Amino acid sequence: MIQLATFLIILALATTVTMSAPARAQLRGPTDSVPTFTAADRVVIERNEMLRSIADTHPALVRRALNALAALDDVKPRGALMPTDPQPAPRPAGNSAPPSRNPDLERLERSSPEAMNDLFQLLKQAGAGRPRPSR
Amino acid sequence: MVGEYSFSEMQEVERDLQLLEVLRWGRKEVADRLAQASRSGNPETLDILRSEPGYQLADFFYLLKARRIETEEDVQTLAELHNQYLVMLTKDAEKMRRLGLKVERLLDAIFTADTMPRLLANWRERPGAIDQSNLARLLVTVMSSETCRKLVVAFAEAGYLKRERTAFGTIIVRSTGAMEQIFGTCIREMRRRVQAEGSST
Repeated sequence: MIQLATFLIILALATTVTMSAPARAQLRGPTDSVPTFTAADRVVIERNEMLRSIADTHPALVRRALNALAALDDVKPRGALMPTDPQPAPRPAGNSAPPSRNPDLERLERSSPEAMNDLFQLLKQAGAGRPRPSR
Repeated sequence: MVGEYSFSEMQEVERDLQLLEVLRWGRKEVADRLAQASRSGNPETLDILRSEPGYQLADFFYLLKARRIETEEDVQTLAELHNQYLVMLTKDAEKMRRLGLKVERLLDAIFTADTMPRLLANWRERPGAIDQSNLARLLVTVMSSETCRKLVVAFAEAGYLKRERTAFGTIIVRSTGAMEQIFGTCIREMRRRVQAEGSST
């Protein structure tokens, strides 16, 4: 049951995050054959509990998740995502919360409403000097 | 500091839920209508129109229009504010980390003595015309330049952008105005729904 839930979560994340044609092609392709994992892939798999738990039973799905993560690397350099040595998620001082069990997968869910709000405010400032249409 | 939210005030909660419903509906409607009015039926193109970055691109072009960023002076003001914002970001390591940005990317996105004149010249020649790389600069904090490029290609296929290659090898992008219409119509319907539901409760 836990395995099924993990499967569905990873599938949803991997499917929704990527949008580019090459990335989609990558997502689809490996499902038809046994995927291969590089050493860097293995590091990420080991670091993420969800991926680790299904790597043997659903390697194609793990491949899809890894490809989706790779698609994000255009925003954040690949080196930052996949260091040679597994690194725990940073913890603020005094915070007793445990480190994330799926630090890379969580990136798939991250969007930046803060950046969108900043952009909205920039355009608001830029347009502030313009006369507004009469009501 | 988390504010107190009372779930026992039933009428207030109901109004909150109505607002949430309208927000969800509006987000869905923008995606649906962009796809429905697309000139291309290519599934890949439609997927991109429906994506979160697709929504962000439509949002950006709507804001340019609604905020009346029209003249060369307007776009220069925007570019200068953008530069100031990026410089401020480079000095805020924690915010850069939150936004998934690196100093190098931010520095690349700052309009310089080389890139600013081209931004202004394109806009002066045809208001609204912008080099694809300059569009990516303005959107640097919300999407990568590669995502921006893919969006521009898809939105051009769908008929929402005109995309022209210049003699210098650069790509000039200009909106046809249709996506701003779709986005604006959805925002207005959302606002009217909220107002109508607010006055009926």
